[in-house]
Amino acid sequence: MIRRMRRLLSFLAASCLFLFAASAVPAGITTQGRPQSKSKVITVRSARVVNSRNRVIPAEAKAMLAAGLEALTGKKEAKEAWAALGLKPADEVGIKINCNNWTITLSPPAELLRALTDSLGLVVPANNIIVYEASIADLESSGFKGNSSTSGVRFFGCDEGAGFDDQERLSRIATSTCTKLINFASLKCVEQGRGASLFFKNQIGSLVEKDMPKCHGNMDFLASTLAKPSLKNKTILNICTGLRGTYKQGVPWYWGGLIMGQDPVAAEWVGYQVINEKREQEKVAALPVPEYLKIAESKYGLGTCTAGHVDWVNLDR
Amino acid sequence: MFLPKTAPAGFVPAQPPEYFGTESEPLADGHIFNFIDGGGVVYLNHGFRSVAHILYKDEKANGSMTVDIFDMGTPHNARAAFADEAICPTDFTVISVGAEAKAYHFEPDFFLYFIKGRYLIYAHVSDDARSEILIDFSKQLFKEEP
Repeated sequence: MIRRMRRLLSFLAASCLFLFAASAVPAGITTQGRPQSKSKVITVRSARVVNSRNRVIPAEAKAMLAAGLEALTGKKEAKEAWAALGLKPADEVGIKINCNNWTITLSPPAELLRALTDSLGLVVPANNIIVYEASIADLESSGFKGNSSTSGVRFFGCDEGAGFDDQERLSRIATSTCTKLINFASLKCVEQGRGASLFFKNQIGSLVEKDMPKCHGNMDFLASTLAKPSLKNKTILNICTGLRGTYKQGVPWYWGGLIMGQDPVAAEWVGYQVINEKREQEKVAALPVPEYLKIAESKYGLGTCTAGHVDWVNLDR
Repeated sequence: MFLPKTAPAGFVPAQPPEYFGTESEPLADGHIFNFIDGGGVVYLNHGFRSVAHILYKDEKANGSMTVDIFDMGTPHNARAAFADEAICPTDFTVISVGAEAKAYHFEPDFFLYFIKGRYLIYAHVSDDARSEILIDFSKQLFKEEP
């Protein structure tokens, strides 16, 4: 049974919107070209999608993804949902994943990635889907094999020859090869001043290598990453796997959920709330809204991390 | 560079060792951010110089064991890194591998950290059923001379 509820936090925050007026996003701010009223973010949770041995049930992962797409777009059929997100049959879709293996494996589960590519495959040919990471070694370290053939979903490393766009200082997989992008992050708490490593950090892996370290300590630079035109204009979905995540540096738990949204700032903000719920349970101090998210909102107009502007819908399966 | 002289019981090297240095002095496989992304900052704060990453595989069980040997420059730096919760979270149990080790069991993972001189050593096994092998291997590693 699916139980749908509006999060109390979102409700309370909306009720107190007046109090936030001074720091709120100005009316009319747009997110990736869309007029923004509230940014919808979906969390989908399942108690049975992953067990304590980190084994994922494929059918449940598939059902969670479908439920999230429906809640996000209002379209019951996945094909219609993708169309609502802007996907067209001729598109080439890049899925940037984050292969996390230090020290706890938080890479996207193959079962979930398969559910996503199968769903996309309802609209585009499988070979038009490119799963990519900073390097082919990163992909392989998480059990994904490279595939540059003309058959099936392709798996690329940014270091494999596509090269980098000089102007955007970004992999040409994102700037040239792909017409649409999906930012597929993992729920990872890193603390050390950056709080969590979610959608913003995930796209560090699309940058030219020399720019990657700039994100570690330069909050403005990190915020600006998703403002690069190709990432800002082509990304149709931000999805974060929290089937297993970390709520402290290196300390995992099985949250059993997904975060999905089109507004990367709002989706990242929800990621922080999810982590903070667990931190509260464990009596660990909450992570504050990080500076890079505030910069992403106020300076780059990438979305909102203002509580009252986020429409957070949770689905419990 | 300090490297294990033998593989853990039942495991074989999955690949040649990888070596990462600092941004200003990268090694054969690059710098620490190539290895552990932003997580490398805290190691740099403690004087990190290089890390050797050794990956073993157990073909029968499809599992892996990892040993990362961080050269922190001085024993003082290694101790400071070992004491830093951003590297070694507080959720550990103490075991002995010749020196005090901080051990973590997050099913199905098991890993530990310990110090040998100026080296901070991290050892991980993907299947906690093999944790005793990891502990024995760590004891053996602690006895070896760099």
